Amino acid sequence: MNLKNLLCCYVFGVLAVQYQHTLAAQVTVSVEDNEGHLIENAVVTAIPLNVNSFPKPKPKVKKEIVDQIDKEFFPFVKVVQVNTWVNFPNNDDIRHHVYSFSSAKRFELPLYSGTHAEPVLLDSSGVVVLGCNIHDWMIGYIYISETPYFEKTVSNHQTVFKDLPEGEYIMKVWHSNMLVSEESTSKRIKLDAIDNINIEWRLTLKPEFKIPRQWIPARSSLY
Amino acid sequence: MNIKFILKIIGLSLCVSASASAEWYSTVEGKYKYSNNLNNGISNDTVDDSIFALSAVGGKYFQLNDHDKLSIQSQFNGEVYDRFKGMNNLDLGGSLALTRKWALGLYAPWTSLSFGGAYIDYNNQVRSGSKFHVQLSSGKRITERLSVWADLQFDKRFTDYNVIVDQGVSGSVYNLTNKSFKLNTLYLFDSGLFIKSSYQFRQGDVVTTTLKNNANPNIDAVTTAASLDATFGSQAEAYRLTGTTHILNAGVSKVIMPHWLMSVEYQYVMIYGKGNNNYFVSTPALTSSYDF
Repeated sequence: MNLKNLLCCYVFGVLAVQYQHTLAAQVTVSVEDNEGHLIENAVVTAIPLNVNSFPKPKPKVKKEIVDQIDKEFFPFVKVVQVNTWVNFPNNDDIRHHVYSFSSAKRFELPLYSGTHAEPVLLDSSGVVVLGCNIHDWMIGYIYISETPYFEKTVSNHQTVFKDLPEGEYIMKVWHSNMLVSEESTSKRIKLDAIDNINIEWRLTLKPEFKIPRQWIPARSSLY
Repeated sequence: MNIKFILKIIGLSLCVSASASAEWYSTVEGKYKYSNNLNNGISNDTVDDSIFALSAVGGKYFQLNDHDKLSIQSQFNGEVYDRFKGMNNLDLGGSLALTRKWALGLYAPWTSLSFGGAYIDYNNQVRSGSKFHVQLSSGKRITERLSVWADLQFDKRFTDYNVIVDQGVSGSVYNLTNKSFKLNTLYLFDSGLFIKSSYQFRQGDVVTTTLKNNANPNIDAVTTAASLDATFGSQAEAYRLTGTTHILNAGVSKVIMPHWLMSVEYQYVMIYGKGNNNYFVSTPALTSSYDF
């Protein structure tokens, strides 16, 4: 192979990569409440219809984090792919006792401070509701996605899937306060190489409810 | 039992509280309330008054293990009466509570054993003295929004004013012993609005003050202690008798800002004293509390 051929191969390679990149379609997602406001902390997933198009990943070496800051879980909603290890560092100067009763993953991290708790492997898809046995108002969610294609919505902004490969997908949305099932939000889409698609969901949410921190002033002996 | 003992309890609380790895809490509360029967009098022998109260509660939790916590608390309370200045008082005390949560999670039942003491200093010294209580409480969150708990309490109050009056009747009207059972509910309408209610059944000593001589002729036969009570006038006399008390409480609280709570409460007290000496008291109150 001479220099000319080598150069041709390089140019062809670069163009191929560029072309491949342009094959990735873009899907813009809006999740609104009944009043038309974009809502945050909704999880949107895109599940390829050909489920063989992505293998179930091996447990990731990289660990995700759900923090505990000022007696709250942070972030409030965390999205990970199935088979992800999650660490629960405690950044408060007091101890927490994290637990989940959810069928997707039942676990308990007995009273600990700092970063001493063992990471938890989230090995089935579903929603994990986190609680702290000491501080009843602490609640958080981990959405364990079966697909690698997921996004979490942020307040007042549309959410964009940038690199979805060409193909057919079922797209679904989940929110901790939605009144319908996640399955009922399913929308089937077909993406061609250069598609730019907008998808909207309008969800009926139950009113936000959180156990207040200061529910009884003289609370020394109460849980 | 005197103020030195109470101060020792508070001192011990503060010393233990100074250690690390625990959680502080403190609340300051201002309350305005009105009582239609301040003296626990029979229907035609009552006085009413408005009261402003300021209290501060501070304490610390020690999470001993996954299920047990120890709470140490100090509290101060002051009351100023609009008309009856003899009722103005300062109350300083402390308490210790050991609480166990019996399982994991939001809905796990819990039980608590607490002990507390306080010294109350009234303008009118006949009421001044120490008080102590032992309380066993247990409760459970029934749903995300509804919690119930019950308190079983034994309390004793010792007056500083120990005088024997005529015919062997004690003058220590404010030496009181009571036991009570209280059922509490709390319902959260939403994260910032909730209602509290309670019913308390109390048995033991009660104190009534007659404002005029012979205002209540039924009282002499059943009284276990008596003394003059200058708070309500030169002819007023305080009597101790045994009785059963029913106390109903209901209140609505609203979170105004993240640490600021406003409450409207109503209390109705029914005292059924020995010898058909019955007293009824209504007390509406407006409370503002700030949680640090």
